[in-house]
Amino acid sequence: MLAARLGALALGLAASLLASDAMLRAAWLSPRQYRLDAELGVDRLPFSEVLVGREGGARLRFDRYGLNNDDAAWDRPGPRIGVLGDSFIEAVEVPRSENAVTRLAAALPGVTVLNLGRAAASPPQSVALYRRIAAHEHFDLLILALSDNDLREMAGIPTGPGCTLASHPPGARQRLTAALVQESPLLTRLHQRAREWVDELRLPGAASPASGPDGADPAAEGALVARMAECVRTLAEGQPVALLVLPGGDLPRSPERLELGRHRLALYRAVAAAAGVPWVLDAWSAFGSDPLGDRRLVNGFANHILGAGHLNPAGHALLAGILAREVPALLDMAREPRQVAGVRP
Amino acid sequence: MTFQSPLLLLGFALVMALRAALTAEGARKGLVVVTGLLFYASWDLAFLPMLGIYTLFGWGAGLAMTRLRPDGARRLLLATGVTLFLGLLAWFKYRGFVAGTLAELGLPVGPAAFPLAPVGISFFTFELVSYLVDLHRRQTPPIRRLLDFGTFFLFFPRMISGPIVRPADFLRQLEAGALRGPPFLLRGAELFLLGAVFKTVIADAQVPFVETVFAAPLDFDAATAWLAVGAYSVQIFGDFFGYSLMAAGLARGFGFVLPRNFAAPYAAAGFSDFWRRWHISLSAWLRDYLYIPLGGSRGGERRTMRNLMLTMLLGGLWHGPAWSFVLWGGAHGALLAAERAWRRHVPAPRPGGWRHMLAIAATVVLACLLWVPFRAEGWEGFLAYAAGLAGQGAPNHWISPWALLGIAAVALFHLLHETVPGVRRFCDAEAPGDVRTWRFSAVGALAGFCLAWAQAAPATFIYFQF
Repeated sequence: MLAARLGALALGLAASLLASDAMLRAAWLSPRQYRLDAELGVDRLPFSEVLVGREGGARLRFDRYGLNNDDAAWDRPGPRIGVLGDSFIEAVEVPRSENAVTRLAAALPGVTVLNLGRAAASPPQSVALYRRIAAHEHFDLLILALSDNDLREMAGIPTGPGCTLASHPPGARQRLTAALVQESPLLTRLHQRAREWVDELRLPGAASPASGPDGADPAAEGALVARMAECVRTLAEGQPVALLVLPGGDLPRSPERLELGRHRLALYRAVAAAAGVPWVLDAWSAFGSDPLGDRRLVNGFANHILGAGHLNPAGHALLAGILAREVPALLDMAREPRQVAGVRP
Repeated sequence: MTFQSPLLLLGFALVMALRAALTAEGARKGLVVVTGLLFYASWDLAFLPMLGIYTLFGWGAGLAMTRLRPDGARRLLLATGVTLFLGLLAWFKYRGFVAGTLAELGLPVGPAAFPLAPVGISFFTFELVSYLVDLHRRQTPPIRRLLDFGTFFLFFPRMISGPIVRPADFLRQLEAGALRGPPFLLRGAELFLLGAVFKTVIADAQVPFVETVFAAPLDFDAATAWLAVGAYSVQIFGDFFGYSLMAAGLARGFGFVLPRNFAAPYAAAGFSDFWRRWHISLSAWLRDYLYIPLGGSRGGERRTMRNLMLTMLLGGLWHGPAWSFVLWGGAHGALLAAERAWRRHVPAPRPGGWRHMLAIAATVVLACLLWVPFRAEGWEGFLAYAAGLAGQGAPNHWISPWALLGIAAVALFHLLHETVPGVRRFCDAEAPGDVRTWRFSAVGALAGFCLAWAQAAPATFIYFQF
C-alpha cells in the first residue's frame, strides 16, 4: 500500500514537471545556449537558436561567435563598426530587425555594423570577448556601450595590466550544474529557485551587493576610473574607440536616479579623458523622464514590466536615432587617424 | 516568515516529527504554544511580550466572567474587556489616522501616534471579543486551563491573518481529541499545495503588473487600467484564498479543521451572496457581533439599512486606517442596502437563468471596480486611477499576458466550483479527506506545478497588513 501511494505521488510529480518543462521549452527559454568559459564565466554557443522569453521574447539564431548578428554580415566587405556592451546592446528581447545596432546599420548604407554585445558582460569581459574576435576580424571603429551598472560590476572584478582577467577554470561542481541546467529550461528555473531558497535560509547579516559608485568614496572611484580607462585604452590600441553612455535598467525617472546617473555620467567622462578618448556619446541624457515627448515608455515589455528593464523597440529606435546622428562623423574621423588625437599611438 | 518560506516548511516538518514523538496531549499542546510563539517572533519580536499579556488577559477575563453571577457584573466585565481590546486596537492602528484627519481639519491632535501596530492585531482582537461576548451570552464554556487557552490563542496557522476562529469551535475540536489522534497529513498537503498554487503561481504573477499600474495609473491607457483592475481582483482573491487554504492545510497537520473562508466569491449573484462567499469568517463575525447587536433586520427597513451601512463602514475601516477603506466599506454597505430594497420588489433570479447570469456579471464587475479604492494609494491615488480608467492616461498600452492568464484561470476555477461538486469539495477547507491513491498523485502534481511555476520573488500576503 505504501509503495503504491509513493508511486502515485512520484507519478503525479513527474507528470507535472514534464508538462511544465514542455511548456517552458515552447514559450519561455530555449536550453543549450551557453558553455562554461574560464575567462568570461559563460560564453554563448555559436549558431545556437534561442528564445529568451523573460522579457519580450524573440527567436534568434546567433552567429559564428555566439553573437546576435546575421552570420553573413561578417563576410560583407567595406568599413566595419563593432558595438560592444552588455545585454542592452545584445538585445535578445526584441526581434533583430528592431534592435539599435540593426537600425544603425540600416541608417549607414555601405557600412557593416556588428553587434558585439553579450548579456551580463562587464567592461573587462567585453574586452576579453573583443580580443577573441579581433584575432580573426578587423574593425574601423569600436563603440563601447556603458550603462550605470558597469561601474558597479567592474568594482567587483579584479583586472590585471592591459585589462586582463584572471582565468578561473570551472570546477567539477560548476560543470555538473551547468550540464544539468543546460539540459532543460525547467532545471534552469529550479536551480535558480534552489539558490534563492539557500539565500533565504542564510542568517541575516550576509553582505549585500554593493550599490556602486555614488560619490561617497572619491578615492575608490578614482581607482575604478583608472582601471576602466585601462580597459578603454586596451581597446583603442587596435582602432578608434567611442564611449556610449546608456541608462541602466530602471531609466532615470526618479530624482534620486537622475542624480546618481549624472554622477556616473561624469565618471564615464573622466574614464574617456584618462584613456585619451575624445568621443563620448551621451545617450543617458536623452533617456530622461519623457524621452519621446509623448509619455510613451521606452523600456520594459508586456510580459514583464512595461517601464522597467531592457529597452523595448521604441527605446531601441530612440537609441538608434542618437547613434545615427553621431556615428557617421565619428566614422569619417576614424578613417582619417591624424585628426584623432590620442586614440592611436 | 511567510507560509511558503523554506525555513517555515523545514520548521513545520520538524514540528510534525515532534508531534509524532510526543505522545502526551499536554506536551502536544505545549508544542502548539511554542510553535506559535516562535512563528510570531519571526514576524514581530518586539510585540511578543504583549502577545503574552493578551493571552493572560483573555484567559483571565474568561475565567472571571464565569465566576461572576450577577448579570450587571458580567455586563460590566464584558464592557471593560471589549473596550480594552478594541481600545488597544484603535490605539495601535487608528490613532495616526484620527490624528491625521484632525490635523487636516485644523484641530489639535495631541502627541504623536505609536508608529507600529502588532502584526495580526485586527484578527486576534476580534477573536478575543467574540470569546468574551460568547461567554457573556453563555454560548460557549470557558477555557479553564491556561495551556488550553494558549493552544487556541497561539495556534500559528490562523494567528496573523485568520481565518477568524471562534474559540468555541476550536475548543470543541480540542476536547474531541484533535491533538490526540493522528494528523490529517494528506488532506493537509492537498489544501496547502492548492493554496500555494493560488498564492505563488496565480496571485504573485499579477504583482509586477498591478503594482506598476496602480503606482502610476496615468502612465497607461484606459484598457491597461481596466485590465489591472481585473488583475488585482485575481491577485487579492488568489492571495487570500490561497493563504486561507495554506493555513487550513497547516492546521490539519496538527489535527484541527479551520473554517472555510471562501466559496467562489466572483460567482456571487448579488452582494449579500458575495459576502456569504468572500472572507466568510469576517462577514460572519460582523453579522454576529455587530449587525445583529445593532438590531439587524429587526425594527423596520430604515433601521436595517442603517445597520447594514454601519456594519460595512466599520468592516471597511477594520481593513486599515484610511478613508479609501471607509469608501470601499460604505459602497458595499450601500449596495447591500440597495439590493435589499430591490429584492422587496423583484424576486431572486432562478439559478442558471439569464437573470441569474446577469446578476453574477453585474456583481463581479461592481465588486472588481470596488477594489480600486481598496488598492489605490489614498484618495489621490484613487482619483488618479479613476482618471486612468476614464482614458486620461498616457498612450502606453500594456496587455499583460499574466493578467489574461490569471483572469482565465480564476474564471475557470469559479465555473468548475459552481458546476462540479468534486471540485467544490476538494477546495473546501472544512471538507474531510479520504486516503485514496489518486489523491497522492494530485498532491505530487500540485507540488510539481508549484515548483515549476511559483514566482521567483514571492510577495507577502496582502491580508498580513490588516
